[in-house]
Amino acid sequence: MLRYLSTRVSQLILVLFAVSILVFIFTSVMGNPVYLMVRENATEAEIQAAIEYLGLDKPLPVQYGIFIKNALKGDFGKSYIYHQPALGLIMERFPATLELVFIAMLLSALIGIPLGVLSGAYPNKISSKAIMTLSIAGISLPSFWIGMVMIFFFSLTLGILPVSGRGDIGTILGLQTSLATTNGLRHLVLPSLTLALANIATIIRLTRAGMQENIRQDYVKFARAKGVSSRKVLFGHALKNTLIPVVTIFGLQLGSLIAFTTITETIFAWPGMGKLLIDAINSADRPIVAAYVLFVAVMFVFINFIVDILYTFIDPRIDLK
Amino acid sequence: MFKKTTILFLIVVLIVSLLSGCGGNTNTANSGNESSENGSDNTPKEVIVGLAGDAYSLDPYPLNETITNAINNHLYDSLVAPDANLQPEPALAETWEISDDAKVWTFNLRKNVKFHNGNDFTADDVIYSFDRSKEEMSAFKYCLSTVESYEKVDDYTVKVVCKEPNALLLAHLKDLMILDKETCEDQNDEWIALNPNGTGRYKFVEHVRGDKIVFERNNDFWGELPDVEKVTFKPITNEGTRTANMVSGSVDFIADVPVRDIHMLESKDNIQIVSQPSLRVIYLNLAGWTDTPSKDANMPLKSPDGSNPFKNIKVREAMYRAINEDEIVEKIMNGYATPAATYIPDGFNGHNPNIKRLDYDPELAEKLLDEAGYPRQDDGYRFEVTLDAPNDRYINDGEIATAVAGYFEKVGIKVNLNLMSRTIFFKYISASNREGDNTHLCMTGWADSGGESALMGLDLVYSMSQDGYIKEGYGGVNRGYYQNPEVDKLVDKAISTADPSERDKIMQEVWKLAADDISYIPLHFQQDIYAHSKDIKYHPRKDNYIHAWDMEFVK
Repeated sequence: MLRYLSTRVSQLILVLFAVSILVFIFTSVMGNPVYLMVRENATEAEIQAAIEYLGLDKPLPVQYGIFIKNALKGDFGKSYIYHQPALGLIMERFPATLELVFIAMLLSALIGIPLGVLSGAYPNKISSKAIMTLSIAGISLPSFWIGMVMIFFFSLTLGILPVSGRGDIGTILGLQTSLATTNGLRHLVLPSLTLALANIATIIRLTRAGMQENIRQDYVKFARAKGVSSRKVLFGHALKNTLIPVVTIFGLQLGSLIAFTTITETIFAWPGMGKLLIDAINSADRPIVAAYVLFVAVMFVFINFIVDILYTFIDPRIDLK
Repeated sequence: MFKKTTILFLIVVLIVSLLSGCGGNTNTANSGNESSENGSDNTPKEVIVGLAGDAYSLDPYPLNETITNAINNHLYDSLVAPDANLQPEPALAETWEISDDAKVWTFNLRKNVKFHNGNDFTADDVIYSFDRSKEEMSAFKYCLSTVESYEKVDDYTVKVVCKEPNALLLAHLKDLMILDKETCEDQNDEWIALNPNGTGRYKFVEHVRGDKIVFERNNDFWGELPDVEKVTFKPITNEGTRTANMVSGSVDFIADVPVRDIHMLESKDNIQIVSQPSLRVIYLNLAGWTDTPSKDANMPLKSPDGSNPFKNIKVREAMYRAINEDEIVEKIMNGYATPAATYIPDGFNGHNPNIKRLDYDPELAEKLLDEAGYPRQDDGYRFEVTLDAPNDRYINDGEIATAVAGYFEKVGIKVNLNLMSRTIFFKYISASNREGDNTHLCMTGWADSGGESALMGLDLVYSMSQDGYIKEGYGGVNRGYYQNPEVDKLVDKAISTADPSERDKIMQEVWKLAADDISYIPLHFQQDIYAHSKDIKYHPRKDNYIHAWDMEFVK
């Protein structure tokens, strides 16, 4: 176990190093923040002063050196436009994104897995066919369109849910979250559903494929012959054996949802990290983009680590070595 | 098995503790003045405003950007404030005197003004704020760049000495917000941004970045109290979402209404659309005052004889006449734009009503091009240019540039369309870009909220050469390198003329000269469009700044 952990940590360091170089190179060609910061009719002296203030007058390798030195101390620099520490700005937005993703993933699991099991076990039923058709729609419809349609239907036509924004925030177990208030929950419904739709569809299809494979195996037939109830056969035996790929995808999707909820957050004016990222890219705000990408890299490594541990629970034959 | 469960448990504990550490960084006012308990029996008159973006900082100095500035205007006052037509009005300075040579300005400050935390406003605060505007991080260094020195005469008098006669000092001073010296002196920039303390009409209540900014009325304000008692600004970047919020009634006011939604919004009973031409003029600059219009460019200007066609006024006129601006306004802008004849919008000082647009006439344009010595070659083209334009800065900018390129092609000018994001565009077209790849034809926009024609003249038409300034700091956005000594002389004269009507006359002449030389090709003024509920009445400002005190309740 310890050896496993230490390889993981050293992998993490390697990944972060590679990512930091990539981020640095890309953000330096991404655009020039100086001309967006000074007024348009700025004199050359003003522009020069701004370049020096941002430290952009030094050669790129030197800038990178300074960046790494500070990053090791946990300082990712100050945002060019917010004039606040970049990492602080990201962490401040993190809970909003996380609660959105949490609900979306919960929906994906609670809806996706049972529907996948059913449509896998009884592929010829009309209901199963309906589920499969809907799941195709779920995968193919783009989220910016679904988001707008949901706003139009639920908020404008029916008028039962708020259009956008994060609602009131309460406290659960010391966490500040909108899960704690009714108003907050109402605000959560549409964005988390929009975010969840594509995932629900993926999970359904993945579970179904696994179920169809497992259901033909001898152990399932044997269990049925033994007289085990069909619910137990499906959810206890067959499902457990299809879970490995589902959990893997689940982990990957969790990561990309947290990192790139950009579109959903923009449509629903949700004050999360994704919106911060897109604003930062639009204004060539390098400290935020760099800190963000590194943060996301750490998160992905961490999530994959948890997924690996989960494997050992699902399938005791898997050993972490 | 036990081991594994322990690990899982530890991970969960870790995550929860991490999260509770990073949550709750919302930034709330610490002085708990609950105004709702002040004995009023009605609910506070509240307005929720949906904006296209957030205020990046509640420190008024590090960033100079419309939304941030407009929001900060609620918290802070300047010595003079622009009225709806951008003319300076007394604010924290009650009166002022100019010396005869227009070099020394003396400001008499308003007495008995208090900051939101109760501190007194004095000359020390003015000096402190002026100093702060010159710091490294400040985006307002230009405001005092023409100032030699400033000093406190007594607690309520400040003297400002300019380097040269400068009748336009107020147009710059209005941008400098006054901070409380005692509050800010020993704090760092980050703290100042999170703990705003001004003298303005509104007090800070709460700012959740990306979600909302809440202000409540400052009942101790020195001037007339605004009608709106509480205002919430919500950044809603997506246009469709902004409109939906307006329709559902969850906001009372939205800015930057997308053109395609106007009709739908107008059909609602309780929604009012307000629109007026903005200061933002969209125009083309042509490098017509140089023999080397695109030194070292990747996509240079190519003419059969190697000359610069833009030098010939007939070519410039032909290009002007080749553009069907009415069609652009109608088809691309859905009618929500005003064709422009000059940089100066109607109603702005120095506007010359005698300047008219040249009529759209592609046949005449072809004739002029022939006369100028650029007949169609074997491939059907006269010469080849590159049109540089942004595609994410102005309303429908990419489409407009594409249309313009099409009009030029029709009269035989081959156009390479070079659209780019604003993050690279402004460096690329900068008149001070010395990195070789210069633009020779670009489409861009300009809006000067300074409210001073002479300052626009200084930036847009004052002589500038390809190698740098002819006069330091002048002609900073003269991207065509337009040169006319007479224009320079008149602009210099206007800047030192204290009498506004006199100045107006001089500037009218300047704009006429610049238009007669076809120093640029104006396209149109964008329209500022707002929508609000019929419970309120809104008086829009020329500079597109949204202020809660420009709204009043109808009942």
